[in-house]
Amino acid sequence: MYQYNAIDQAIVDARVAQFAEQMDRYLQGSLSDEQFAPLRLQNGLYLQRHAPMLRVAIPYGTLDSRQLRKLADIARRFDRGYGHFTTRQNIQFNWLDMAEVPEVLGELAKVQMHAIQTSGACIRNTTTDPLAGAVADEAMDPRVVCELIRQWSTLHPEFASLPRKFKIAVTATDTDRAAIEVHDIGIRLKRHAVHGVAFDLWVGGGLGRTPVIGRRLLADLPVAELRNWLTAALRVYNLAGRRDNKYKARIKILVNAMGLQAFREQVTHRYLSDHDPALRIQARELDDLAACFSRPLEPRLDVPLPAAPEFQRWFGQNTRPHRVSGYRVVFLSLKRPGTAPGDVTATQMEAVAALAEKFSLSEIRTTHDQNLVLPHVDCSDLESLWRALAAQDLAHPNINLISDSIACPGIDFCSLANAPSLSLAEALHETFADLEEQMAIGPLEVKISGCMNACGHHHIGHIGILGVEKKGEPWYQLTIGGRDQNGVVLGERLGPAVPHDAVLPLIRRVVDRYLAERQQGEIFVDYVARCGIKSLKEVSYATH
Amino acid sequence: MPLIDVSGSPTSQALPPATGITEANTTSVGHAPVVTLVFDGPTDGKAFSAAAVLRSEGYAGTLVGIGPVGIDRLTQGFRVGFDLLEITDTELQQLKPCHLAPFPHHYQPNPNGHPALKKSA
Ligand code: SF4
Repeated sequence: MYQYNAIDQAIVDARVAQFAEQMDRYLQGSLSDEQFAPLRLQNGLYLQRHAPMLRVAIPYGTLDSRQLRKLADIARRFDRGYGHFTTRQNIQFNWLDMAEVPEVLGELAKVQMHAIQTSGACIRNTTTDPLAGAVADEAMDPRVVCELIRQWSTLHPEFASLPRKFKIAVTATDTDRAAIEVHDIGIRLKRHAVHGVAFDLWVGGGLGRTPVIGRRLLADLPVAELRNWLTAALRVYNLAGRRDNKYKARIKILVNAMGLQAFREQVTHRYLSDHDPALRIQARELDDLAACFSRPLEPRLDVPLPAAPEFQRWFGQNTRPHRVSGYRVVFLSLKRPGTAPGDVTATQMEAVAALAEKFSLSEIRTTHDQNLVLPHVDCSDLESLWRALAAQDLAHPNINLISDSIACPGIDFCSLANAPSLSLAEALHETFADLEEQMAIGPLEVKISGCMNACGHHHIGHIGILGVEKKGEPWYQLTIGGRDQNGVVLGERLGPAVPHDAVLPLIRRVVDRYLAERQQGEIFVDYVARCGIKSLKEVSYATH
Repeated sequence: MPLIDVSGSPTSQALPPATGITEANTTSVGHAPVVTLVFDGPTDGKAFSAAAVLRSEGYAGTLVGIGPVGIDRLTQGFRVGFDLLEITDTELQQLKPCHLAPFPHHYQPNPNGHPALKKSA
């Protein structure tokens, strides 16, 4: 993992001091609510429905055991004993005391963590493949590029007051597990005959109230020029992006209004005109960062695995192949009955930190699906790990199944929400309580957002659920057939919105129709791609 | 309202009419000794990029930012190449050295023609 040098640490420490001073001015009344809002947001501090919420950055979703222990400590000392992992690989604390936030930031800085740019109209935490460095077919470890972007974008003087938030995602495999096509900028790293590794730059994707699939802006660029190209693209956006209407301010709207070719010409012009040799990435810089993330592992001989059905079910559902034989990538499900998706108690965090130390080189990953990953587990340790996870209620074997839903906080916490999200995630557990049935249904991603802002990524759920308001009541709009891998597809609207209690019966009818009509081995989203949603529409609204 | 320089000292300066953001390039401003760019609001940051473009294209005159920059964005303004930034009388009274240089290091290189800033190794 990347370790801060003295400069990184000094910057984060200075940011803590800066925010503490800003908070002082606010509490003393020299800053109004309106003046303080952009300052606190740039530091991840929201005023939610019940209490201030702090979003802590987990750069590119990689944590070590020491950091996770610190998060547990913060959850216990400053919050209500738990944290909430988000769909952008970060963690949120929902019940902080505003005046204690600077102290929390000071605690985070002790373990090289912060809340810088986790909100606000700036460049946010760069996200990537949660399996980075553990899978076989990478052009390079994408976290090398993510760390370069983290440094370049942190407290960037030119880009701290953009028209709107700006999200970058990086992938380095053919299978895109970072959903780069629904980000403001997506970076696809690939092997290249001339440059060794090159990247394609995608632009203008995003979810929210106007979902747009990004398009490839430029191809085959040398990694050495990444910062100059990013500067050029951000500069065009900052100069020309709309600021008169926040719903029209994302880069996707600018690219559509300008046209992709005109946007490309402007970015290329700025790149050529403003090119800064100091932004060029040297081979040494790449090598040094690659060394930080490198995990040399010796291949191991296959070991016999326990035959117990419970173990086998967990192994099949919650582990994935590793790039080195004899190792597995292990998913920890944060989707258990009775718990909001992504929630983890301080005790569980401490347990995971210890298990990562013992079984996964002290490394933990956070996923877009609000789960955790131990990326480097020796197969001979799997049984011990499984037992230890089960004791912490973290071995629920439902990864990618219908109960592994993702959900934004919805009306339970978010002041912008139209409707509850968490109760629907719980209802999924109740309706599909039988794990055997879930496995028979196969992979089926349900994504739930409490409003049009789409923090639950409902547009790209196999089944997407959007909370809408109807005559003062929460209702839900369902979309079908969205996907976020192997070519993003936005889900198609199933039909009219339905009230809360009608959502799960409707999903049940959809699933039953799919089971009746699917071909052998066909997963839900492939069935929808083959058949469309006509049949599902008919069965869904037959009784309405 | 007062203009301050990078050391926080109030400075008087006769200002030309503001240059529009889209015209903020060396072709349109030529060798003008002073160029004024406007911040439309406390969260508007177009002028940061306009200043960066001018400096990047080699503009060497005095760059002035007016409007609600705010004391928490002064450091950004000076780092992208402004020489003078407007603040209110109240802000001038509140101004402390930490507002002008909150960070001992920066990850980004300095804009052309401006004092070198340290960057991460
Ligand atoms: S989708 Fe809406 S309700 Fe859910 S967290 Fe985002 S803003 Fe809040």
